[in-house]
Amino acid sequence: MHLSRRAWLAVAGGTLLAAGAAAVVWRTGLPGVTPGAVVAGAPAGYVDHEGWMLTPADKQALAQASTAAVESP
Amino acid sequence: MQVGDSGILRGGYDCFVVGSGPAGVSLALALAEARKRVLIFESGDEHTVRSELANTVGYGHYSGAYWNAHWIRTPGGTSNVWAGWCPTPRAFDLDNPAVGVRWPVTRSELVGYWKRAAPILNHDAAYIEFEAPLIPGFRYRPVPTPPPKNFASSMATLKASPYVDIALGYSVVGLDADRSRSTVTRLEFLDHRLNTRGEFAVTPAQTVVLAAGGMGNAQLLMLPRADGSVPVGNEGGQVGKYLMEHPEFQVGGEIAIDLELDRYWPAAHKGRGVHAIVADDDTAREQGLYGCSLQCTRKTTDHPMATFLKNQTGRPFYYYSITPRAEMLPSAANHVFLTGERDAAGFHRLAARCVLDARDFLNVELTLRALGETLMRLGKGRVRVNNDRIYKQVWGGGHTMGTTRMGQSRSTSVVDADCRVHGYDNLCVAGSSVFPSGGGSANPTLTIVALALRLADVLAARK
Ligand SMILES: Cc1cc2nc3c(=O)[nH]c(=O)nc-3n(C[C@H](O)[C@H](O)[C@H](O)COP(=O)(O)OP(=O)(O)OC[C@H]3O[C@@H](n4cnc5c(N)ncnc54)[C@H](O)[C@@H]3O)c2cc1C
Repeated sequence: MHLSRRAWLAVAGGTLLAAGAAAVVWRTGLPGVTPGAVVAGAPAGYVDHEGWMLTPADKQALAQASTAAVESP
Repeated sequence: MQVGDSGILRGGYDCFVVGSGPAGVSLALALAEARKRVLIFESGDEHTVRSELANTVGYGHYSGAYWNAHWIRTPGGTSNVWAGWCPTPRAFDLDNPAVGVRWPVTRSELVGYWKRAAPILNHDAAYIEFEAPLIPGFRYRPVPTPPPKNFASSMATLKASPYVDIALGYSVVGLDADRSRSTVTRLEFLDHRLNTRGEFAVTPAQTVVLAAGGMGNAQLLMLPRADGSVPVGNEGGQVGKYLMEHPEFQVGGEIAIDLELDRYWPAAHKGRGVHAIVADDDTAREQGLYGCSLQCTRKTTDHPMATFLKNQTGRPFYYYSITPRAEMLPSAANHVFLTGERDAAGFHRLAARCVLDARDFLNVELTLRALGETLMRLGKGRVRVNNDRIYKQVWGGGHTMGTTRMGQSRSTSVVDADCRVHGYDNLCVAGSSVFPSGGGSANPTLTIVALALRLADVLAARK
């Protein structure tokens, strides 16, 4: 099949955009790999808050702020 | 002059170039400047994209028809759809023994060629190395985004050159060599319009350069031979191996930082780049990291994390989403190979297996975490790591690298440091297929053009 140059480039561009938006989704197991940044035995230097790397004080302040927001009339 | 317009070839060529993408065109024009005569073969013509010849099936992380959209068979090649981004690899990206990466070409040699390649790609040579310190351990290293040069626009220049003939609508479909497999002796082509085949005898003084794209170069060096002997150029059995992409992870991270990145990009170039942060060489070495450019977009001061940090410190914070663009380590298990199906030109349909390693994902997560820990320690910001966007969604840059890699010997690579196929005097390869690694996360085309200019210098010096 010989698409015209213009038609083909339009199709290719469209496919790329659609593919980029949907992205490929797959699942994988990561056998026995330990992140190098974590020193063996020592706790990580951050706490997790929905993916954000925070200090314990940040997390506490955020929790207080959200409690205050809930409690305020 | 264009073959087919008049049907007349000037002959007496010093070089046959297969492909009219950024590699083939840059090489041909540089050779013409050195008064070498060149004939370019290009599958597509002004009216046709020969997409049926790029029909590759993908296995692994880049599946289905992924590669087809990244190998555009028309004059100008894949530059018809590229984005024009032109970063350079860092020294560390080309020489990183911890992950087995060592390019046979030094970065200092490449710098001169990048500077020559920059204007060809609408880029400013003064900015090819631009970067600035950001925070300890990390550098601001924006990705320059000049207007994408479409090499289809170079066809007129090529046709006007007294040294170049261009055969549009002609695919190279066969290569022959002498018994000792040291010289290409014949090149077979297909005229798509007439559906007829023809051939050129190639003398030892003439050079054949494959510039057919990351898939096409491998395809041409894997062409099965009627007598069942090893394909020309694949005597070491390495062709097709070490296929690589540049994995990218849309919004794989987020950052709230007290630095406004716009301030770092030089005033004369504002708006012509994407902000990016990279680990510096020491951080990367200490943490076992490799290529990963954390590209920062969609700045706002309104994000809840920016507001929170501002309330905590009294300073303004800027929120950016981060799209990491990264490197995958070369692996012989990732390869292009022939399937039993054949296309209209008689080529075996290609299959491309490309599987990222666990380390490639970890590299991205850990680069983000190292940045997050540093910012936290300095009190200058916070980072979010979007786990599922890193580990469960991956895309690529449209970069096809590594299928005819550069190296020291035939047993581990396909071409030498001059991009000459090991063992051959007159067979060379141009394009990202020669990359021994991804060159960090750097988009490949500036380096493709740089290596093409370097190859032109080698060939121009040939008597
Ligand atoms: C969507 C997209 C965005 C991209 N963005 C960027 C970017 O921002 N920055 C960057 O650096 N790179 C980018 N790239 C990659 C860039 O396009 C390629 O690196 C570049 O085009 C490769 O140049 P090339 O000359 O080696 O190969 P190609 O451009 O693929 O050209 C190969 C040519 O060879 C011809 N050919 C193949 N086989 C034969 C044969 N047997 N006989 C005759 N002719 C043949 C083809 O028709 C084609 O014209 C992008 C790619 C895509 C798909």
